[in-house]
Amino acid sequence: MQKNMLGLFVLIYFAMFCTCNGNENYEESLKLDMIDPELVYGFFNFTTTWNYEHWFAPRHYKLFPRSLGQLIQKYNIAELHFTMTQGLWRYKRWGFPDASSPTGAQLWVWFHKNTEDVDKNWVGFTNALSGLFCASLNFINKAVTVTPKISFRPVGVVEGGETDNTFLRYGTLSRENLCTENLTPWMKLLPCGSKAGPGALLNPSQLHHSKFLSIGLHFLHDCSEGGSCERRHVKLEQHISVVYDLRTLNLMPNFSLLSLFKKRVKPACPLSSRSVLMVRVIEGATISPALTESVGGFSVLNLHRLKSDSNVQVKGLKTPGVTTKLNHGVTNHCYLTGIGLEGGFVCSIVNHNNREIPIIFFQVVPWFLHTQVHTLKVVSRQNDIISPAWISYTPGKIRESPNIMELIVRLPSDSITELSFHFTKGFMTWIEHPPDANHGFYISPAVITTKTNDLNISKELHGSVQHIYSEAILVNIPVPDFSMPYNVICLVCTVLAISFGSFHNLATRRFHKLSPNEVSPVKKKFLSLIERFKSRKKKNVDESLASTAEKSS
Amino acid sequence: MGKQRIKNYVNASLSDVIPIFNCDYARADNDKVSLYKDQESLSDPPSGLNFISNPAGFDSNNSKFKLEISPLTLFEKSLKDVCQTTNTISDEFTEAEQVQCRDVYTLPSTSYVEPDILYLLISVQNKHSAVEMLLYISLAVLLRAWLFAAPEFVSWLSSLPEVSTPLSSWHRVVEGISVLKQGGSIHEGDSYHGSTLLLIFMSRLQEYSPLLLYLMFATCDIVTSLALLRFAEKFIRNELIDIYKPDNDISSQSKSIKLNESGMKDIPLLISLLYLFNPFTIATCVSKCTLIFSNMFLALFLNASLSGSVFSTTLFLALATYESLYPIVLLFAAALCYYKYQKTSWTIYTCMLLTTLCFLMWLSLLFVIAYLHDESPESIVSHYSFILRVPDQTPNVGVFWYFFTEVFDHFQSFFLCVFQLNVIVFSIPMSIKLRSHPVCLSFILIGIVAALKSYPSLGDAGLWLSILPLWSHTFKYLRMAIVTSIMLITTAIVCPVMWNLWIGARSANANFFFASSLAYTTAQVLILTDVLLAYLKWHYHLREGVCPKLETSNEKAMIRLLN
Repeated sequence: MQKNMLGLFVLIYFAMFCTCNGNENYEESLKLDMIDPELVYGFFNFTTTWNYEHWFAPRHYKLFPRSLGQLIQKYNIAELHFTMTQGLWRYKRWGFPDASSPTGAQLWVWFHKNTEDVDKNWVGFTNALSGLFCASLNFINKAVTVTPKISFRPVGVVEGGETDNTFLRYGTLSRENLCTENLTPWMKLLPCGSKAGPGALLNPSQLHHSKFLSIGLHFLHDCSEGGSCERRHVKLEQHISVVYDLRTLNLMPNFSLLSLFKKRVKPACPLSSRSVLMVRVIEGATISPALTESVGGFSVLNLHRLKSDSNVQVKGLKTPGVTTKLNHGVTNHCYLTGIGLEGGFVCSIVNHNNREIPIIFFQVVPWFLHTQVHTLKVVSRQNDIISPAWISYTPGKIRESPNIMELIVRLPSDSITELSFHFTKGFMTWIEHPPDANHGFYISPAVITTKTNDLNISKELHGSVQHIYSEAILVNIPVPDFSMPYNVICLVCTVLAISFGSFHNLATRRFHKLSPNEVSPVKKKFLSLIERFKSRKKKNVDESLASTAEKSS
Repeated sequence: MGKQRIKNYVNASLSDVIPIFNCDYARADNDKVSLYKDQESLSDPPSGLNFISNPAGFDSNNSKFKLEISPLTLFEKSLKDVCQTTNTISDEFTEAEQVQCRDVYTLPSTSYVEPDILYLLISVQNKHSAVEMLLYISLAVLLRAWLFAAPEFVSWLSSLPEVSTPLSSWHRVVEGISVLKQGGSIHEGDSYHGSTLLLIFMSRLQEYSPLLLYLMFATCDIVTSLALLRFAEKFIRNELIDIYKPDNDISSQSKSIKLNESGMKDIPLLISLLYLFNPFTIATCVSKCTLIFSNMFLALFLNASLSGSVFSTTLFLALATYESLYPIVLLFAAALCYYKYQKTSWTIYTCMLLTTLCFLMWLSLLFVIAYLHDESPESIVSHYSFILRVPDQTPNVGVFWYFFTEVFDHFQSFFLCVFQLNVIVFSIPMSIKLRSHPVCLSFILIGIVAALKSYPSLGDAGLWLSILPLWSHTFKYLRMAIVTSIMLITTAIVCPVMWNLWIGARSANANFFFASSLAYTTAQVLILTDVLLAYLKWHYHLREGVCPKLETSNEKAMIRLLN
C-alpha cells in the first residue's frame, strides 16, 4: 500500500513537472568576448519564461523564484529592472554592453495600472527588495525617487497598449557598492544556483577582481512567439556583466576559464532548455579545446553535451601596440565646474556617427543642489546653440524630491555637444549627512537614451533601446561642525534669552526714583562681603605684626 | 514740496510784536530783537523768537523788521492774535504769503491748531531745497548705475549669504520666471520662494525691457528714501507739537533736553541720505534682492501712518505683510498711529477694529489677485510656509540656519515654534508699553523683525539703521553706544571674510561664520534695546525734569528701572 502511494506521488510529481515544463522555460548562456587583447568581457545571461493563462498570480513555483514572484504579486508589479554595478563601463573604449547599467544601484519599476497607491507600493517594494538582496535599497526614498517622462519606457508588452508614466518609479543609489552579500542572494534565484552550467563559474571572490562587475535582474511581460500578442508570458532575465583586465591579473599571453574564475565550467543545468558557452577571441589567438560550432563569430560550446567539468583556454594573445577599438556611437562624459557654493554641471556628448542622432538626455540632480534651469545651455563645439526639441524640468523640493531634467536633443553628425547648467549648493542638517560626510555626495549618472537602430548596434538584452550612463559625479557640500550641536544650541539660545530678557525688562518695568543712599540689596551684600574680607585681611596683618613684634622683643 | 517753500517772513513793526509776546517793549538790534518786560531783560526769549535773525531784512529807519513766524509761537500766543497781527501788517505781502495767512486766519480761534496748517509753517524752515535733494538722488542713482555696470562685482555680491537669502535672491526670481515660461508651477518646487504677485510683476517687466528692471530697483530705493524723508519731517513736526503743547505734562526742569527745531531740522535729510548711501542698502539694491520691495512698503507704511489715513496705512502694511509676512506685527502699531494722528475722534477700540478690518480687506484683495493669476491655493500660502517652516538651512546673518542645522531632530518643531514666536511675541508687550509712542513702537518692531526673522539679510538692518537718527535727541541716554556700534560694524565686515574662509578657501569651518553672524544679531538686539531704553529714559526725564528730586527730601534722585 505504502509503495503504491509512493508510486502515486512520484507519478503526480512527474506529471506536475511535465506540465510545468510545458509552461516554463529556462535558458542559460555565457558569452566571452575580447574587447581588446587585454580585456575580456563576460556576459552571463539566465532567462526564465513562464506562460500563464490570464494573470500572473501563481501559487506553485517551479523554475521561477518564489521569493521574487511573491514580491511581484504583492506589490502589483508589471515590470521590474534592477541593476547593481561596481565600476564604470567605458563606452568610448569598450563599445556598448549587452545590458548597460550605471554605477551603483538602479531600480525602475512599472506598476500595474490598477495599483491604488503607487508610492506606497514603491516604498514597500524597495524595502522588500533591499531585504532580498541585502542592499541598502531602502535608501531610495522620496528624495531620490523620480518618474521619468520618456527616458524609461516599458520594455515588454503593456496591458491596454498605452503607457501611463504615473505608474513608473525610478531611483538610483550611486554610492551603493556591489558586494558578495548581494551576489549570493542573486545567485540563489537561479534554478540551479551556482551548481551547474555557466552559473558554476560565478565565483564571488574572483568576480570582484574585475574592472567592471554588474548584476541585473529584469522582470517583464512579453509576447509569446507568433505575431499577434494573444498569449503572453512573463520573463525573468538575470545577467552578470564582468570585464577582466588580463594584464592586472597577470594572465597575458594565455588565459582560461579556470584562471579567470578559478572554477571549471560544469555541464548544463538539467532544468535548462538551452545552455551554451560562446567564446570569441581576437585575431591570432586560439581556443583550446577547439570548438567546432560557430554562431555569428562566436565559437559555441553546448553545455548539455558536456559530460564532466572542463576548462576552455585561450592562447597566444599578443600585446597590442595601440588600442584601436573605438566606439562609433554616442558617448557622454560629465564633470563639475565652479568653486565655492556656485557650481556648474557640464556633459560633453560626442556623436561619432556621420548623421544626426536624436537622444533623450535625462539627469536627476539631488535636492541639495539648487539647479538653475535658466542657465541650461546646449552648445555644439562649433559654438552653435542647439535648442532642445523638448524640455521637461521639474524643480526639486527641499528634502522631498530631486530636480529632474529631461530633454530631447538632436546631436549633429560628428559633433561634440556640451550641455551645461549651473547650480548652487544647498545645506543639510547634521543628521542628514551620511557617515564620512566629507566624502561628498554622488549625483546620479546622466542617462542618454537612444535607439539601437540609430547607433547600428545589436545587444542581447532589451534590444530596441540603448541607455548610455555617464559617471556618477562626486560633489562636496559644505558641512556643519558635527561636534558641537550642544554649543550651538546653547549659544543661540543665550542670544535669544538676552533679547527676550532685555525687551521683557523694558516692557514690564518702570523708572523709579531712588535715594542715592538706597543701594540695591545685591550690591549691599557684595559691599558687605568686601568689607568683611578687608577687615579680616587687616586683622591677619595686625596679628602677624603683633606676633613678629613679640618675637623680636 | 513747492507749497512748503513759501518764505515765512512777514514784515512787522516793533509795535506789532509787543502785543503778541505780551512784553512791555521791544528793541531791535542789528541782528536780533530783544524783548523786555517790566524793565527786565527776559532771560529766555519766547521760543518763537529764537529764530529771529535777519540782518539783511532789518530796516531800523522805518522801524520794521522781518518776523519769522515759528509754529511754536502759535502755542505760546493765541493763534488768533498772531493772525490778526499778521493780517494788519499784510499790506506788502506777496500773494502766496497772503494765501497762507488767510489760511491761518480762517482757523477757529481756539488754541488747538490743525496739524496740516502747522505743517505748512514748520516745513518752511526746512532749508533743503528740492535742487539739493535732486542732486543727492541723482548721485545715488549714478552710484547704483556704476555698480550695476560691474557684473563681476554684482555676481560676487549676490553670492554673499548676508546679502541674498533663498527668499529674496534674484537668481530665484529669474529661475521662477523661467519655470513659469515653461508652464511649470513655481509652488511645487524649490525654484522660487517669494510671493506670486512679485514674480508675475517681474516677469512682465522683464518681457517689456530688461533695462527697466535696473531702473525699477534704483527707483525703489529712491521712493523709500523720499518716504523716509517725509516720514521724518512729519514725525519731528508732530513731536514738536506734542512737546510744545501748552497743556502737556512736561516738566519745566527739562528744557535742555526738549526737542528743538534747529537741532532736528537736518534729521530728515540725514535719514534719507543714510538710506540712499548705506552700504547695506546699496548691496541689496545692486544684487537685485527682492527685499527692497518689503523695505519700500515699510517706509511707505511709516510715512502713511503719520498722515492719519487708515486706508493708505493698511494698504502698505498689507503689501509688506504679503511680501514677507513678519510686518504683520506692526498691525497694533498701525492702529495706535491711526488713533494718535487721526483727524476724526474715534476711540482706540474703534481705531483698532477699523485698522484690522482695512488691513484684512487689503490683504485678502492681494490674495485674491494672486489666486486669479495662478489658480492654486499654493499661490497664497507657499511662500509663507517657506518663511515659517524654515526648510532651507542656507547660511545667513540670522539665528535660524545653524541652530536648525545642528538641533536634534525630535526638538526641531518645538524650537521652530519658539524661534518664530520669539519674533512676533514682542509686538504685544511693546504695543502696550509704547502705546502713546506708536512711531517708536513701529521702529522697534521693524528692528526686532530684522534681527530675528527666519531669513534676515543686511538689507533688513539697513532700513532701521537708517531711521536711527530720528532718536538722536535721546542718544545722550545710550549706555553702550560705542560697544554696540563697533560690534555691528566689525561683524558686518568679518562676516564676508569668514564666509570666504569657510566656503572659498576651505580653511575655516562653519563655526567661524556662525560666530560672526551670531555676534551681528546680538549687536542688533543690543542697539535696539539700548535705543528703546534711551527713548524711555528721555521721556521720563522730560516729565520729571533733567535732575529729578526725591519727593521726600530735596535730594537728587537716582533713576532705576524697577518693577
